[in-house]
Amino acid sequence: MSPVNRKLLWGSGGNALLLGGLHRLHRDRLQTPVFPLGSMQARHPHDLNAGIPPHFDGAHPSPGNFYFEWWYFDAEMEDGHKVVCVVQRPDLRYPLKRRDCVMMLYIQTPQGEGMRHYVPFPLGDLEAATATCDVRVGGNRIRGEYPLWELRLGYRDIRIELDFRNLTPGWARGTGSVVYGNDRRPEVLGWVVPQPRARVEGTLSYGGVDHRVRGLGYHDHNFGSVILFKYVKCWHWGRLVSGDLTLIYADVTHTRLMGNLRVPCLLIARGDRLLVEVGEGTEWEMLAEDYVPDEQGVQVYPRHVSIRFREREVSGLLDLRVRRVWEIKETMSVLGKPGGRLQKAAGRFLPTPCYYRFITDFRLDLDVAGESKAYTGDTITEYMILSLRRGQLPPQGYHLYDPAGLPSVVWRRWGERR
Amino acid sequence: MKPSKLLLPASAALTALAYRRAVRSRLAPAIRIEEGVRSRHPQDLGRGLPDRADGTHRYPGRGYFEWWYFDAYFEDGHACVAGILDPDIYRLSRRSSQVFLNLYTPDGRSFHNFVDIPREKLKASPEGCRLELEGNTIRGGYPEWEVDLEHRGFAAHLRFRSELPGWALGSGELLFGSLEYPRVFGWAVPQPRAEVSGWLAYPGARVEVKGTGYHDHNWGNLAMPLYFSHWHWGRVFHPQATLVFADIATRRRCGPVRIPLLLLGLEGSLEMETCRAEWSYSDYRSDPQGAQVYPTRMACRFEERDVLGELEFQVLKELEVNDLLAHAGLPLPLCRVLGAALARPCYYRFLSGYRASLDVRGRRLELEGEAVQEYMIMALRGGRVPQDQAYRNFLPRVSPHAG
Repeated sequence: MSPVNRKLLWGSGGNALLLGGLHRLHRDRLQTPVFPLGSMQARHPHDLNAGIPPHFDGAHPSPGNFYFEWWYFDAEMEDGHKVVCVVQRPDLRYPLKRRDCVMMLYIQTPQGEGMRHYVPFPLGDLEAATATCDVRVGGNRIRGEYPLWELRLGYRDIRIELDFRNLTPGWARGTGSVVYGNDRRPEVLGWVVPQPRARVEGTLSYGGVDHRVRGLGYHDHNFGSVILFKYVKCWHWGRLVSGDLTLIYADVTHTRLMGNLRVPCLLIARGDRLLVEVGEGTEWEMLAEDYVPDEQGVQVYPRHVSIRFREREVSGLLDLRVRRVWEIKETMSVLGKPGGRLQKAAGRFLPTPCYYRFITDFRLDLDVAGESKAYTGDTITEYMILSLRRGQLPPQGYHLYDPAGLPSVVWRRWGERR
Repeated sequence: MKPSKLLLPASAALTALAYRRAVRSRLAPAIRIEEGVRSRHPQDLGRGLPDRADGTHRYPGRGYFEWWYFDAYFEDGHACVAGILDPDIYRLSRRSSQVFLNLYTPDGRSFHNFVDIPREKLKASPEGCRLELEGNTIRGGYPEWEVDLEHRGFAAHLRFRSELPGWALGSGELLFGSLEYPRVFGWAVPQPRAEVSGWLAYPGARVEVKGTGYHDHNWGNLAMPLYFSHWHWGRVFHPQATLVFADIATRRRCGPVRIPLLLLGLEGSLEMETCRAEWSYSDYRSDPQGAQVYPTRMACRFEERDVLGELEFQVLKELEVNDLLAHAGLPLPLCRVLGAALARPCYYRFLSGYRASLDVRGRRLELEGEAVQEYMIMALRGGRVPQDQAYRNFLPRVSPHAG
C-alpha cells in the first residue's frame, strides 16, 4: 500500500471513529421535539377561571442533581404586619451542598421592624404529598387546596397560624411545567399560582404576644430540574395590588442557546375573577431603561420599566419606577468583596448573577372594554440576573408576538438573514 | 511543519463541524409547556383564521414546499380535486410549480392532470390567498374562495363558500426541533366545509355543479421523509357534523410520536379541537401493485372539553393509488430495491364507510355515511406494518399526574 493510500485510510478511519464518538456523546440529545407554534394563546375568560387541580400544588419530585422546589406565601395585614413564609428544598442558599431544606419565616411589625429566620432541616425531614399541597417539616405544616390553605409554622418564640382563602381561582399555564430540552432529557421549570389573591386570617405570635390579623395574601409554587443559567439570562417579575385589582407580570429573557427568546407573562385579576392573561399573539412591549450600577458595584439595573399590552378587550400601560433598592443578593462574593478588583475582572468575562428587590412606584392605565381606570401605588418588584456579564444589558431578543396575528419563527430566524 | 501534517487535524475539525451542522437543529433545546395545548373555547374557535394563514409562507432554503388544496363532491356524482403545489416536490429538480386538476365523473371515469409550470411564473401573496400561475388563479378569503383552473380542455371554475370558520392549531405550524434552528410543517384549514358551485369541463362535457367542498393549505421548510413516517388524513361531512382529522406519525428521530389533530364542527360552528385523539389501525392489505400495505380499518377515540367521540372507518374502495418512486420516474426494479432497503413512499385515497358516536356536552349524535380519507406513507419500508404501541403522543409529559 502506498504511503498516500495509507494516510487516506488512517484519515478516514479516524474521522469515522470521531463521528461515532460524537454520535455516542450526543445520542440522548438528538431527539427532535415537536410542538405546535402559536398554540399558547391567551385563554378565553371562561377557561381562565376554571382554576387548577390540587396536584398542581403537590410536590414535583424529579430525578437528577438539579431538582428544586419551594412553596411561597406572603401576606400584608390590615394592621401593618407583613409576613413571608417559604419552604424550600433543597436550601438554594447553598446550591452545592444540597443536604438541607429550609423554612424561611419573615415578619415585619407595623413599626417596620423585621424578623427573618432561615430554619434548616435535613432534607429527609421534609415530607410532601404529590396529590395535593401537604408539606411537613420538623413539626411545621402547610396544607391546602382550593379554596383554603393552612399554614402552621413556628420557630423559637415565633408562631404563624394563618388561613389563606382564595379570592380568585388559581392560575397556571398547562400544568405549570415549562419543558426545556427534549423528551429523552427533559428539564423543567415550573410555576403555578394557586392563590393569585387570597383573604388571610389568623394569628401571629412573637415576643410572647398573640396578634389576631386579617389581610391580603398570595401563594405560588415553583419547582424544576433545570440548570437555570443554561437557558435563562434574566427576568423581571412583579406583583401589584391596588383596590380590587391584582396584577402579576414577568418577562423572561432566554440565553442565546434559546435564540434570546423572550417569554412575557401577565395575569390580571379583578374582583373575584381572573380578567386576562397574555399568550402567544398578545401585543406586548416591555421597555427597560435608565440602567444604573447598584451601590455595591456588582451589576446594573433599570430604574424605569414600562409594559404596554393588549389582549382581547383589555389593554394597558404599566409604568414602574424604582424608588429604592430594597435587597441585593449577589453570588460572586467568593471572589472577594462586592465591586472589588477580582470581582470586576471576573465580571468582564463571566456571568455575574445578581438578584434585586426594589421598592417601586407604579402607575397602571387599564382599559377594559372601553372603560379606562388608573391605578397607582408602590409595590415590590424583582430583577434577576443569571447569565449577564457585569454591566451587560440584556439582549433585545424577540417574543412570539407578530402584529399580523401569526408568529413565524422561521421567517424571524432565517428570513431576513438571507 | 509540512502542510501535509495539518491535513489530519484539519479533516478531523471539518468532520466535527460537519457533524455539528448536520445535527444542530436536533441538539438545540426546545421550549414547551406541559398540557399547554388544550382545545380553545368554542367562541375562540369561532374567530377563525386571519387571511394571512392562507397566504404564501415562502421560506428560504431547499426544504421549502407549499400547496393549496381544494376538493368538492357534487350532487350529480361529479367530484373534483384541484390546487397548486409549489415547488413540485415529486421532481428532484424542484424547478417547477404544479397545477393539479383531477376530475371524477358519475360514470366512474377519472381524469388526472398534473401540469408543471416554471416556478418563476407563480405569483403568490403572503397577505392572503392570491395565486396566479399562467392563467390559473386561486383567490379568496373568508368566507369565499374562487378556483379557476384550466388545462387542455379540462377546467374547474368553482366558488367555495365557507360553512364553517377556518381553523389551524395555533399558527398552524408544528415546530420540529428548536426555535434557534426551526423546521416547521404547517397545516391550516381555511375551509373545513364549504358549499361549492360552478362548472367543470372535460372532453365532451361542460357541467354546472353544486355540492360540498373542503380547502386546506400545507407548507413547511423540512425534508418530510426525514421527519414523517406516515400520516392518515380525512374528514367526515354529515348534515349535522363535520370532522376533519390528521394523524401524523413521525420517524424515530422525533420519538417516534404521533400527532393526532382533530376538529369537530356542528352545524355552522366549530365545537372542539384536540391533539389527543387515540387512533388504532388494523386489517392491513396490500395495494394492487404490491408496493405497500395500508390499513382497511381505522378507529379513533377522543375526549376533550366535555366532548366524547368514537369513530370507525372501513375502507370501501381505493380512489387513488400512487407509488411515488415510480411517479418520480424511477424504474420498477429500483423502486423495489429502494423500498426494501429504505422506504417505499406511497399515496392512497380511499372511500370509506364510517360510524361515529358523539356526545357533545350531553347532546348525543349517532352518525354514519361515507367519507374520503388519505393514507400517505413517507418512510416505511415496503410491506411494513407500523406498530401503534410504538408511538406516544407528541406533547411533553413530565408530571406524574399529567394527562
